Amino acid sequence: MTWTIETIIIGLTAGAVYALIAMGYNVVFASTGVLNFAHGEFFMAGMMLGAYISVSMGIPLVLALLLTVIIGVIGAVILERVAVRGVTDASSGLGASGWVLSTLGFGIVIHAGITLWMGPQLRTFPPLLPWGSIEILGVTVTWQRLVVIFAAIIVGFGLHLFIERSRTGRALSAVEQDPDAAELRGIPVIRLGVIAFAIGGGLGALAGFLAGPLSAAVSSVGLAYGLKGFVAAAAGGIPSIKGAVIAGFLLGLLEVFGVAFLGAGYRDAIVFAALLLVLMIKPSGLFGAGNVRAV
Amino acid sequence: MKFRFAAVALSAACVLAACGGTSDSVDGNCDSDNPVRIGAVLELTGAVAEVSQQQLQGAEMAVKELNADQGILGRCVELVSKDSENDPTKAASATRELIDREEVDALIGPVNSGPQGASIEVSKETDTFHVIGALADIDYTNYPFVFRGEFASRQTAPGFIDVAKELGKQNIGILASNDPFGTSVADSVKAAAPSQGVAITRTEFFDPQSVELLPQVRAVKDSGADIVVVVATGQTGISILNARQELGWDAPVLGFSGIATPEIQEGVGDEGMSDVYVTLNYKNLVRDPGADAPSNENVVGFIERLKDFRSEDPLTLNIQWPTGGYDMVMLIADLAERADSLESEALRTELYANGHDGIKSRYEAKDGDHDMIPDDQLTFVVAGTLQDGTLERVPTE
Amino acid sequence: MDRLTFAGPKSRWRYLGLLPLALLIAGPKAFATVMSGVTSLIVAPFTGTIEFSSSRYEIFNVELLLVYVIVVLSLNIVFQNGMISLGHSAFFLVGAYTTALLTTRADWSFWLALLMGVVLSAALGFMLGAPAIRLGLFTLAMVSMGYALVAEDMVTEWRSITGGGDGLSGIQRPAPFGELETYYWLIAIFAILVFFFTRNWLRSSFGRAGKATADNEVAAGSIGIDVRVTKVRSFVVSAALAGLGGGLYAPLIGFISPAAFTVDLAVLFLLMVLLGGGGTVIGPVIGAVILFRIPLAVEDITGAAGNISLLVYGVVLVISVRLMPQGFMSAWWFIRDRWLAKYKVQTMIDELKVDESAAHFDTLLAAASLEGSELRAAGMRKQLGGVKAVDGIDIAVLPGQVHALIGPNGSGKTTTLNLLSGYMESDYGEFTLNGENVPARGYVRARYGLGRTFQTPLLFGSMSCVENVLVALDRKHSENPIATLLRLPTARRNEHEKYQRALDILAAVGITDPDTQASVLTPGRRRLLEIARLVASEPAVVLMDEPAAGLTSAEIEHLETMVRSLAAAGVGIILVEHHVDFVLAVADVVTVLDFGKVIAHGSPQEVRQDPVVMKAYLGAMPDTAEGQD
Repeated sequence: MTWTIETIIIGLTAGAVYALIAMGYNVVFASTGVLNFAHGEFFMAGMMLGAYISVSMGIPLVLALLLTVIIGVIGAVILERVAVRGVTDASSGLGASGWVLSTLGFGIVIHAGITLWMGPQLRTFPPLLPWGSIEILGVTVTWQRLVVIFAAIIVGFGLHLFIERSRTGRALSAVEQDPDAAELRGIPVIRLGVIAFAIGGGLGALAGFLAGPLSAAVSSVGLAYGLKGFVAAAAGGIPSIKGAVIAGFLLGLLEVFGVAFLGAGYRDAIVFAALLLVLMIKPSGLFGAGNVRAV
Repeated sequence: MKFRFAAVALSAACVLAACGGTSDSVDGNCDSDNPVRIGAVLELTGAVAEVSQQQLQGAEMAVKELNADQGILGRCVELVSKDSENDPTKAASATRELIDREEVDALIGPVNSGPQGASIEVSKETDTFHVIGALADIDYTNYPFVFRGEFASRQTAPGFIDVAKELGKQNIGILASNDPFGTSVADSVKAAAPSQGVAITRTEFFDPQSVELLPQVRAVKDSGADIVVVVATGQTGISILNARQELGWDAPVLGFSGIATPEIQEGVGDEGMSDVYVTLNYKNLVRDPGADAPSNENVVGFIERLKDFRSEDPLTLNIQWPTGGYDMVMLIADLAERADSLESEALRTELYANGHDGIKSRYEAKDGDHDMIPDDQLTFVVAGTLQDGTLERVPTE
Repeated sequence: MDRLTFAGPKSRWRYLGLLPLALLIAGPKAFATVMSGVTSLIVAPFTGTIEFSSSRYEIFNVELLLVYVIVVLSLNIVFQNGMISLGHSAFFLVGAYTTALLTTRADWSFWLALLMGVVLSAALGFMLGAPAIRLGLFTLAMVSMGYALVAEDMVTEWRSITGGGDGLSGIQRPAPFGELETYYWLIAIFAILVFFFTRNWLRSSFGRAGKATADNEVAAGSIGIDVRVTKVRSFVVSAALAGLGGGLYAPLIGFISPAAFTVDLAVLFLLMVLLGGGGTVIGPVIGAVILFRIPLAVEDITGAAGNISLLVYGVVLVISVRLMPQGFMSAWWFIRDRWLAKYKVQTMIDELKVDESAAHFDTLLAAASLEGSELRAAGMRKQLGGVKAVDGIDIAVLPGQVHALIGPNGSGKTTTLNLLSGYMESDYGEFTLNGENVPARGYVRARYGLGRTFQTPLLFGSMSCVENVLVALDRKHSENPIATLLRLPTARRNEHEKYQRALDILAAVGITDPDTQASVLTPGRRRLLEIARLVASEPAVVLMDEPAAGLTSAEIEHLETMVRSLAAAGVGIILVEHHVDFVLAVADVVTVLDFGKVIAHGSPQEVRQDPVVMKAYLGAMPDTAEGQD
């Protein structure tokens, strides 16, 4: 029983990280139609910069969190300008997939740059709250895990409200449905693209900052987390924020229990079999709009 | 246009800063016109980059020392390093580049089994003398000039069980990453257990990319294990040690040097590092309980020189990896001097006949058995005791 | 535009393609010398050295490059079909492991083992192709990446068979290709074969159908292309070729381990296709060469320091995308066309010559000897979101009859057409063509001779006009696939005839610039092209959804004559149209719908006088409803 509850909490913690990453993909995709292949590296950068700013520079954690997110935002705005704007052209279909290369290239630059600067070794990362814990259902749970889980829920909720309720948010999703029509209606498509990338970059860095204290920061995690985040996004139904959060948590749970019952070698197999199953039943993902073009 | 300029500027800066892979600081009495070239295929990027870079540093230090003296056979030494990116294809290509384009006389590395397998296929074609550093089993009859400068996987298991028994524990749990190294260690411990009179209570494999391993540690704890063999590095190492602490589990941990790095120590704190013992260390490189430095004078000297080389005092790394790279180069140099030749055949004959005394170990080989590290060199150390490059040996009664 | 046909206008540039071929045949040393030389020339400003080398290292590089070229060409087939695969490292792995295991552990001959690897890869390709039918572009990319990850994991996990992470060593090259230098020939021969195979594939009816599917699945279905078959076929063929690449890779290295088949490799393959120009014949090869040599060049510049090389590589990727956002081939064509434009007088687009093309259209149809079918649908019902969109409609059209379907907006006209076309399945009702029941699937009904045009013309936008027509001709004039892929004389003749016929059809509808890309046509010409494609598919019954919408009066006149000619040739026509004058001019029978029910039926004159109809049109006379949309 204890084992089960512990495992659930571990699964939810990992899932929260995936959910945060998945939301970043979704916001960007919603308004630009671009899948940011550098997104995993933003997560990594958030982790490493967080460790550097809070530990090496000794800046208080809350301030460090803020700084990290701001750097993530700036990085993503640069990414949008350098690797996305001007190389996407939705009307040419597959022929204009230059951004696949350029966002990947940008991710490589982030990865190599940070590894050069901070080295391949681990960086310790203090928890946001002291490593205290509380007891839930007879199981002790560290605060850090709860922080990560609640952060995903709160950010998800906030983002959902932003997209559904605010003018800018609604404009973001309007762009995704039909960029040309949005342009005609006077929606500033380019500015929205920048905003979307800024939010995405900030989310990626935030996810990295929050996940850092769970073990330690290291510069090689970008690809793996970027991938898991995308799986969550795809299973949840791009660009649904609700879908990203729920699928993120489900993915985390599936992973820990799958590994526990079938063995670690089948981790990816379980994850992708589940993804395939979801997509076969509902090609647009769990919460994707059924009739909108499949991503 | 400005992007193109950025690339040019970057590359130019690189050339100016001499970030090249060849070290050619020549200031000794050696002949620099016709240098001896030693190629290094190492995992400079990727999962084991840290180990590889420390090995490379040791090798560079050896080259520097050789060149400050007589070089090899009076010729200066150049070290040419290539990154295998931890990828077998790239390792094969890099090895070929070293042999065919850089025309190296001998090879060192890689340190991971995938790249190693591809690399030795290439060096075999030209019978290049090749010192490798990964554990994977090799049939040396097919690779007559390949020699291993680290422990082999078969040497890993028996040590664990001995230490467990010495600590008075009978029930061993295993927590291992599901990569080649983890699985091979788990297999060999499991295979050796029955004959040694100890029980394996549970084996849990995990993916090296897992965030947290609390459930796995819990499962092993609940199986009744009173000591646990851990094959983990980096983040997973921290996760396991944190989980052990969180569960209030006092079972000692037996692991590899990857779990006792300064970074992990910092990550889990002194309490997390208590009762952690590390194998695959070398008798020469460890301190006796209570001592400040190893008793071996060569090692003490090495530590002093490494401090100079790294401009760091005290050392923050474990000297195990730098000594590995250092010994590989020095082994080649020593054999060449004694054989008065750089021919692979001559080097091998000399190695078979007289071996080599390195910093971390003695190296010996015979026909068909090129695992050069003798079994008796293996020792356990206490994690968390890293001080000036070395760790403390497990106290034995 | 990349031509999708062999029979099109020949460019004098095409002989450029023979250069690499000559280089390949010149042998490993020559090839290696050129590759290393060109690379060193490019980086000479940074390194200060120029080096032409034919060392074994460079020969190895050339062979590895050719292996990658094989895989990249295979990936291109999938890409041209509108799918992105990040799973090709899995097929590569299956080919490599099958060959390696069977030769080292089971003592199979290399050739049999290679064949087995190809077969097993194809089987895996089927498993990936099958779900591909339902998945969107990026989710498919994701799922395929899952295949790559899982394949790598499984090889690691099943170590008793595969050797696990420690890998498999001692993989021998087959005689007489035992040495690195001689093995070149084996790889080169396969690379050439695969190149011509994929070229012929892309330009065959398979390739055209694949490209059409990628452009527009509904339109592809409307001319009888089974989208699922196209996609699965592409995946199976592509996987087989990638497996071949893997089978050649294993003996080249002599050792394989799961670490060699990471997702990074799959990503690299995709990048090569994208950088060169996906879907083009030669682009992926160029992409492979560029991306293969860049890291080597970067290493020469920076030395071997791993992360610095990686950093520069990333920067180079971003720069190359900025310079050629749509890949190398697009950039090349852009430059070439600009250069050619200096020498070429801009041809004026001809005025539409209605009389001439109308006569032409008649002769063409007369020569085609179309056979009309009798379409009958009885009691069709369809509920959409709680509304009875179609509520018990009977429709019949005889060969040679023009049957107009009119009614106010929302009366169920388009739903009726979609039910008849088989895009929707009716909740209830019967459908027969010439008395035969035909299942409600778009492409199946199309194959029974049901043609269709759409409210907004659905064209294959990235293809030229003539290719749009050729895709439809392919359906009716199927060829022997083996003859096509080998490009035998019969296939070439067949292709040439089809090409001429396509030009003829285009001329008959009044399109005189057959090489123009469909997506840049004016609205009027789009309709004409859609009709040309319709005619090429040799329909028995035609469903037209507002064909006159958006046309000028001259164009409508032209349309009128074409519809009449089609009917005169024996084709039955169902027409949904708002343009009342047009309806009155061409229709033999008119059915009026309202709220999903037939409210009137009869000759145009009868319907015009019907009081119920007048009421349905809100009291207005039908002819004043003209122009309503």
